Amino acid sequence: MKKYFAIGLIVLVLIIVSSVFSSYNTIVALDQNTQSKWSAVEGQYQRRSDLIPNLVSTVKGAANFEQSTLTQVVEARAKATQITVDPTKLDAESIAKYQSAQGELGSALGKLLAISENYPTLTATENFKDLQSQIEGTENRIAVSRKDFTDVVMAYNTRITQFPGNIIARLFGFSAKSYFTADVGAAKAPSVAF
Amino acid sequence: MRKVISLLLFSLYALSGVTAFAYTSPGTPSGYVNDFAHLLTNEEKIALETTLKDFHDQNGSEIAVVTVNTLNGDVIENYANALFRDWGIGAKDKNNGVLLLVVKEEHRVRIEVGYGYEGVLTDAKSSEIIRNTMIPYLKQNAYGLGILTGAHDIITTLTASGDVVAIETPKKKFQFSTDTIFLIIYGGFFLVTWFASVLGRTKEWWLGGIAGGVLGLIVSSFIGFVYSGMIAVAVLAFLGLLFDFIVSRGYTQSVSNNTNPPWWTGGSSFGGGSSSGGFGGFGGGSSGGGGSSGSW
Repeated sequence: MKKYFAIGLIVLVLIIVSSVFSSYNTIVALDQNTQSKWSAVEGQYQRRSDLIPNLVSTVKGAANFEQSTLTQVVEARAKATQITVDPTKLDAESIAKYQSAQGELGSALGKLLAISENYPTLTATENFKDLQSQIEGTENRIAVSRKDFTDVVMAYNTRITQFPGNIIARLFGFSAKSYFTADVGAAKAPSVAF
Repeated sequence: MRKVISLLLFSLYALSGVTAFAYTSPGTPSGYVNDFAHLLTNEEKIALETTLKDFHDQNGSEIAVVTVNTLNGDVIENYANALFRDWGIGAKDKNNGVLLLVVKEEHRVRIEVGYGYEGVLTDAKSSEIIRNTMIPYLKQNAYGLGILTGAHDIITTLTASGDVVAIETPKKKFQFSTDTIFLIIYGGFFLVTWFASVLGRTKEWWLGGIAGGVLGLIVSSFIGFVYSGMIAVAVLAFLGLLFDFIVSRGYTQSVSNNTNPPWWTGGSSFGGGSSSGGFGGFGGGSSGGGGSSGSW
C-alpha cells in the first residue's frame, strides 16, 4: 500500500512541476513575442521617418510652398526620432510618450499631404505620386503592426493574470505590458486642412 | 479631394487604437481566381487561373485574384489584410503571396503584398499598376481587362526582379519526408526494444510509469500548454505502466516476443502529395499591410 502512495505522490509532483514548466515557458514565449512585435512597430515608424526627407525635398521644389507646414513636419520628425521605448519593459509611460510624438508627426504629415493638393503641378508628378503611395502604404503597415502588437500584449497580459500564470508571473517577476490607446490628438487632425 | 479625405480618414484610422472592423470571410478559395462578384467571363476566369497556376508551378509564388461585391462598411486595407491572413496566401516560410482585390460596389481596388515580396512589388510599384494599368479599364467597366492586365503586370514585376526562382521539385521534398519518417520509425523500434529489455528485466512494473511520467514532463515542456502538459504526463505515465506491465510479464518467455507492439508498426497514415489535380489551398503566408489601394 505504501508503494502505491509513493507512486501517487511522485506522479502528483511530476504534474505540478510540469505545469510550472509549461506555464513559465508559455509566458517567456509570449514575452519574446511582444518584443519582436514591438520592434516591428518601431521598424514601420522608422520607415515612415525615412520617407520624410525625400518628401520634403520634393515638396520644396514646388513654387512658394507654404513653409510653416514643412517646418512642422521636420521638427515633429526630429522630436519623434529622439523618443525610444525599452522593448523589455514596454511600460505605459514610455509607450504613451512614443505614441504622442509619432502621432504629432503623423498629423503634421497628413496636413502636409492635404496642403499639397493645392499644388496641382506638384501632385501630378510621378515622383510625388510614388511618395504618396509609399506614405499611405507605410501608414497601413503601421496600423497592421500596431494591431499585431496589441493582440500579443493582450494575450500576454491575460496569461499572466490568469491562474496558474499569475503565480508564475509573480514568482519570476513578469509584469503587465502596455499597448497603444486611441489617440486623443488624432481627432483634431482632419479638421486642419480644408 | 476625395483622395485627401480618404487619406486623412485613413491616418485617423491608423492612429486610433480601434481596428475592430467587421471583416467577414467571402468564403473558401476554390483556386487562384475567386470571382465572388462575377466580374469575369468564363473564358477570362479560365485564362487567368491557368496563368496563375503556371506561375505558381514555376516558382511557388501564390497570386490570388479576388472580387467581392461589397466591403460591408470596412476599409479595403483592413479587409484585404484580414482576407490575406485568413486564407494564408503564399508559402508559410517564404510569404511569397500577392492578393489582388477588386470591390464592385465601393469601386475600390487593392494590391496586398506578402512580407516576402515587399521589396520587389513595392508600394509605389503597386500604386503604379493600379493607377496606370487597371483604373483606366475599370472606369469603363471593363473589369475583365482591368483585372487581367493588372495580374499580368504583377507577374511581370515579380519576374523581372529575379527574386522569384524555380522551386525544388516536389519529388525531392517527398523523399526528404519519407526519410524522416523512416528514421522516426527505426528510432522508435530501437527505443521500444531497449526499454522492453531494461524494464522487462526488473520484473517490477511501476518503473515504466515513472519513465512515462518523465517523458511526459519533457514533452509538456515542449508543448508549453499547462493542461495538455498535464494530460501528456498522465497519459504517458499510464502508457509506461502498461508497457512495463506487459514486458515484465512476457520476459520469462522471450524478449523477442515483445519487440512488435502493433501500434508502432503503422506509420503510413501521413497525407500523400496533393500536387496533381485540384487546388489544394494556399500555403499559410502572411502580409504586414504592404501594397497599395486605389479607387475608380
